[in-house]
Amino acid sequence: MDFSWTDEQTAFRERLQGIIARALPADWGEKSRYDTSSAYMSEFSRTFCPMLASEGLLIPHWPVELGGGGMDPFHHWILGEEMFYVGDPRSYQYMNVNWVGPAIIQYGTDAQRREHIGRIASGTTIWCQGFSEPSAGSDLAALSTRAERRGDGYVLNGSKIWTSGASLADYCFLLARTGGPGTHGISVFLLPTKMPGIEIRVVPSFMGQYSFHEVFLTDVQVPAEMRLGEENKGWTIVRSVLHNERIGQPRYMLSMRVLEHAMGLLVARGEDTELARARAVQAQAGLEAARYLALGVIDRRAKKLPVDTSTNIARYALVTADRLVADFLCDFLHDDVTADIDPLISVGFRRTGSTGLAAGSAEIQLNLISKHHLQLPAVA
Amino acid sequence: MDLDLSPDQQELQAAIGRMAAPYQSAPAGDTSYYLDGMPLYAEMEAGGFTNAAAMDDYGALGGLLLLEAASALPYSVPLTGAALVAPMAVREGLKGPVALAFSGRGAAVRHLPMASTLLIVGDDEVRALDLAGRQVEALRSIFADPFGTISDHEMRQGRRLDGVRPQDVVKWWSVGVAAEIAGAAAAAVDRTVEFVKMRRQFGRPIGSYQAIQHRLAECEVLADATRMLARRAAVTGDAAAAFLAATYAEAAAGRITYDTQQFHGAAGLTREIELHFFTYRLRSLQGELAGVAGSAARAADQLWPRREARPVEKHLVA
Repeated sequence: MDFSWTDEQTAFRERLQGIIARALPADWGEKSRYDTSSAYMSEFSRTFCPMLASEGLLIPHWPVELGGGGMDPFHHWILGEEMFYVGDPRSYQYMNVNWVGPAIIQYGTDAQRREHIGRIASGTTIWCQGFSEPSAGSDLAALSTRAERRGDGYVLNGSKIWTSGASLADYCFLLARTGGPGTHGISVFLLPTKMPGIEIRVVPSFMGQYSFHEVFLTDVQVPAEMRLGEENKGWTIVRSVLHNERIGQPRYMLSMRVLEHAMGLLVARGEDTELARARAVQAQAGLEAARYLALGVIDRRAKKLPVDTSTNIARYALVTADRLVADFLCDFLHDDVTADIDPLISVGFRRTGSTGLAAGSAEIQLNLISKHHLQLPAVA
Repeated sequence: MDLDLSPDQQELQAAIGRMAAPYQSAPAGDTSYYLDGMPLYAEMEAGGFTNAAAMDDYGALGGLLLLEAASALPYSVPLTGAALVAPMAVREGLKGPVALAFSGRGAAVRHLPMASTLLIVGDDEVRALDLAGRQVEALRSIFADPFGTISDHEMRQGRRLDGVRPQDVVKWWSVGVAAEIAGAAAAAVDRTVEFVKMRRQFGRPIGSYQAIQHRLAECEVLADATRMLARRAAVTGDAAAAFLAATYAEAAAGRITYDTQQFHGAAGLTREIELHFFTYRLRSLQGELAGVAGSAARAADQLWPRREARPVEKHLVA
């Protein structure tokens, strides 16, 4: 067992840190509020990501023949850690490079690859994920947005909800029903968001500026060339490309930073009581547990072992850890939380609210651990 | 970064497993509060296993694997001091088994009735007390490991170990407690999973109810995370990591004890189904280092040093 980073990995991390530090403005915290979904961050990503691309750091984990650096999953994860530590200045472009691009590479036609991969790899386009619907959240396969065949193309009708960054995005990776009920009648569409018949409404929330949207699709006419992969085989694409993403982003990095910052404030004010210190340690222990369980998943990925329930275990550990951070902030930094002045305290408090929902709800993680890991009996 | 055991470590783990195999279950009909694991200890010592932590091939993780495995047995095997703390913090051969106590706190010391040496951690010194001929009184305890008491006078005796730092002893003791909690927690969860698959109420296994599934899944997450943090602390030897691991483990112990006992119903409160060896081991380990408050105070001092020293309970911070 070895918990250390290689010299090369450490150098890669330090290089990333240097590049990020040079790229972010001095008032990054104030401007971005560490909000992935903010208009500022999204716009920032349109210059930040091309810069990363020029440094070979936007898709270092993609295969060399596709313009990537051919780096292993640990490098990919280090990249995610360092980005998330500053709130992820890639904004929603992290999705592009983590799974949208790889899905198009794997399942797309030559024309689709030509249209999308160059832009994703150069950091000039923003995608959102059109999965959840009002009646299809955790039970995603119940989605009812229809794509009816008409002539050479399809007509889309239905609605999506909780779509992050939809009003900022150029494209939507959208799931729609082209066949019968269940997982076998679903197809994927690579849909430009500015098409006639698409209406996007921001859902006001406690999270980030543009975290949630509703996307209404009314008689949206799309050519068949926008369908990714075979008709009715979309579920296979979703499963395969999201397999490696179930663990989500290394959110613990920002939470650890928030906790460190919060304790710095309490120590400076002489308010770090025994109880506050103990509660901070419990939160820190939870975050470190989440981190090393996540690294265990990455280790399996690096060894090309199949995805297993260690992913769900790591994710649930993160959910509980983030709750400890939010509770800590609420209890011991009440004025800072309520004043909403300090960007790190604010984001630490707000962001933890969504940890149990993103990347599959916490309860779904527990279902999967129960069923596949503990092998507990199903309900008769 | 490689979060699997090395081939050498895997081999060691397999050898420990073979040695522990005859001790997986209590003798039929036995209803003891604890089972004497000294024969297994003697076997491990004779085979050189208790010295694994001092060997380059294994390091501290070697000792940790022993503790994890032994704590998942119903038998009480006194390994914490001899297989981890002594090799890592004392670095000289002490006659095992080795019990551990803070100076002036000899009222209830785990494994004392089995021990040959008592390692006493003071504010600024560590002493080794050869227990031969000393007055050790075994306590009546409901916990799964034997406890003993020794007088304050005896606690002041012993040989001062030059160059041995109290904070190192407490650090490795913390790693040991975390590893033992990991082992006992895994055993408690595993046995409970098997029980809820078999136990039927309202016409179906109780393990098919989501109310039980989710809580057991949470226990599994806690047990897995405890083991990961303990192993990380052992491999890195980092003090903050050790105290964080202990803090996490101690909090997990309370939760896992409650849930695994609860899902066994009244049977979980008996001495007839072996669960008590693990739940009551968890309970005693939970408070051995002054619990979450104690371990968290030590971790906080590593992570967020105070601007000025404040008085804290002596036993909380080594």
